[in-house]
Amino acid sequence: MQIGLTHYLTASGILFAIGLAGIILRRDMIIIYMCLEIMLNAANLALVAFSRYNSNLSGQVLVFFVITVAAAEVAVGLALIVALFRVKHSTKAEDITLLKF
Amino acid sequence: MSLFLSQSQPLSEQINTLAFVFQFLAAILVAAGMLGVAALIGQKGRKTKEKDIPYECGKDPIGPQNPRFSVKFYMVAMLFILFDIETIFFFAWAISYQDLLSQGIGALFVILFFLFLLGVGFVYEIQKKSLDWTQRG
Amino acid sequence: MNALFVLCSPECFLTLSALFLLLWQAIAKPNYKSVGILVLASYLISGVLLLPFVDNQGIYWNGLYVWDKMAVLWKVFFLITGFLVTYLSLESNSLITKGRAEFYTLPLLTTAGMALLASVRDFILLFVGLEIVTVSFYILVAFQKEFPSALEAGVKYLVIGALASSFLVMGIAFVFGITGSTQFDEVARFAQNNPVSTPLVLGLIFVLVGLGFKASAVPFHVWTPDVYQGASTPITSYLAVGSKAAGFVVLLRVLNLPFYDQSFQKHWIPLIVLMALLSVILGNLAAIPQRNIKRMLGYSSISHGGFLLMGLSAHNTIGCAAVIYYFFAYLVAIFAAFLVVILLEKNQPSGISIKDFNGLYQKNGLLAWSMAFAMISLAGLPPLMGFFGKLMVFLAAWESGQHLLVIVGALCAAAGLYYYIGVVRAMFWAEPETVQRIVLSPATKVLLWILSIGSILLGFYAEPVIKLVGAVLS
Repeated sequence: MQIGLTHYLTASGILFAIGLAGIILRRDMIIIYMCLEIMLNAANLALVAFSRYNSNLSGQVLVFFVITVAAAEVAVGLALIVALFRVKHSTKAEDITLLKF
Repeated sequence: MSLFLSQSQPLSEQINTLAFVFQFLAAILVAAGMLGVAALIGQKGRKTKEKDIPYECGKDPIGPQNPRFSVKFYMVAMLFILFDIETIFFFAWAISYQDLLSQGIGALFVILFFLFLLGVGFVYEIQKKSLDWTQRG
Repeated sequence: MNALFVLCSPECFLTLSALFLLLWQAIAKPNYKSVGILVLASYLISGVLLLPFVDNQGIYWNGLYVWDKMAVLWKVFFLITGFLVTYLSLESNSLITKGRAEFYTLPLLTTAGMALLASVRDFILLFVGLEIVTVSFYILVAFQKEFPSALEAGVKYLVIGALASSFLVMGIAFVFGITGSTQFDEVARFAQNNPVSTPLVLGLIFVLVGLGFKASAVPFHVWTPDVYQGASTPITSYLAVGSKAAGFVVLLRVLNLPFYDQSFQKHWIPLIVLMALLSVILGNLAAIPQRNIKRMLGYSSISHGGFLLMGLSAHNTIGCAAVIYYFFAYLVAIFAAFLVVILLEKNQPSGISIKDFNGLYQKNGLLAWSMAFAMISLAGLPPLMGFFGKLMVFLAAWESGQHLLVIVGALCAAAGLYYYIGVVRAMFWAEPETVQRIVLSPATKVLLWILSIGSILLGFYAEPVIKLVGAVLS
């Protein structure tokens, strides 16, 4: 069997859905951040596959930037979690309920 | 290189809507499946205070139940992630350096400017004593 | 493209001055006030450096970056925004206890990202610029890290923001996969010569999801009230004006170039109309019962997003000119309102509710009148800027045949009067608990005068301004 674009895109779609479902279902902030990373990487997979398919490198260039941005996001996110943990002693999403109508 | 791309076919034939249909069917199935199965078999159960105790031997535990890492590890991890990731730009630059050099010396200055940006961040970290392990994180 | 031009562009100059200020304050440890004043100075210098290049035209770096009149106009807008935000930060310095120098310096980088967004002509640059803005906002929102509410706002903003950016990347991936390019002109050319297939439309929708988050249009608005309430007040004003404008400038670029083709328009116009309808209705209705002023302005910002989307849905030059004029009206009103909120917050750091405006007229007349003008302008009553903004948007949408949208929008604007006038009523006709005069610094007085008079004058002379904007666009 030859692995084609369809397979890569299917894998990417599954990853994207896993990430989205994780963000909705999971309750721990750290897991939620991991799911966000999964979603971004699903998009990366699609980009690389398309880039190879179109024989145009600009998609892979975008992947570099996505990786960097994801790292920056995680660094900020971790810092937020650490700060939140110091105040609240918890990283659970259901404990973050101060702001609501 | 032809792992998933057969170069013989024209591009327009290869990109078919079918690929996307598969992607979305798979995505929707997985998402709906996960949400559905979680609702179906995820038992709510009765949660009592006694059940949540780590040791069900009658003794009440003292102190936090899970061992904690020092926050310092997280701080170092955060600083590491950024500098670690920046190297991917050096890879791309290094591969095409020879080609770029034939168009002029500009390619060198570009990466030097990038290094300067990283250097500013590094000096800032040192001045703020973020890399000092003995400081409280 | 010469080196001088690159160095003088706001994005480059602001980045360099931010780096310099960060290093300087880390090494020399000057006092915070001087850093803040230098930040103000760098916005001014950047504006002056922009002057020789106003008439430049061109597309640079293989179509990555465009410099045209519209880009210059938006860059000026973002510079004004950044300047006012820093002024507000200096006014509210008692609320920020740690890292004040960084608090002043970081918005320089955010403004640089916004200025970059004003010139995007490629999806790669679009993503990078948008993330510069978003990631620095994550930090700014959660800056008061001893307050749980600020941290909570930061976490919520980060989760939803990262979700939106992953949708954006996925959308860009689809567009790239089908058209084979990330450059706006190439995508537009592809759409002219080829039929628009389903995956391409999906890519368009995903990109709109990602940008709808920045514009806080309704299905993607959930973060807005919480983050507006939790963030410190200068940052809330920055979010309300700068971040929203960043979303809209990208929408203007994207919808008018790569997705401009007829075959695209028939897909995105209904979506934009739907988002506008929902935003206008939900924003205005949900703002009515709010007691916290920042939360109320958060919902009001959602409704203004709806009015702005109306201008976009008109997909013509008048609509785009109306959006730009509306944004200037919005900037003047929002900054006046938040300046007043900050001055009141000095005595009451726990947050300001509508009740705290009771009898403000007896405490300080200038504050009360500035707030009243801001509220009336936001509500869209006749002689002020906000009215002409709304009128233009409605006219543009009506001309392009969105009659239902305009009728619903007008009804909702009328409903919105209720909560804006509520603030005015509290200031002039309610009795305060204690009458304690509020003393203002001269600079603040001047700024309040400028903002109030500006919103009246530019309201009376709306026509020439709109003509100017229209000329810039065409």
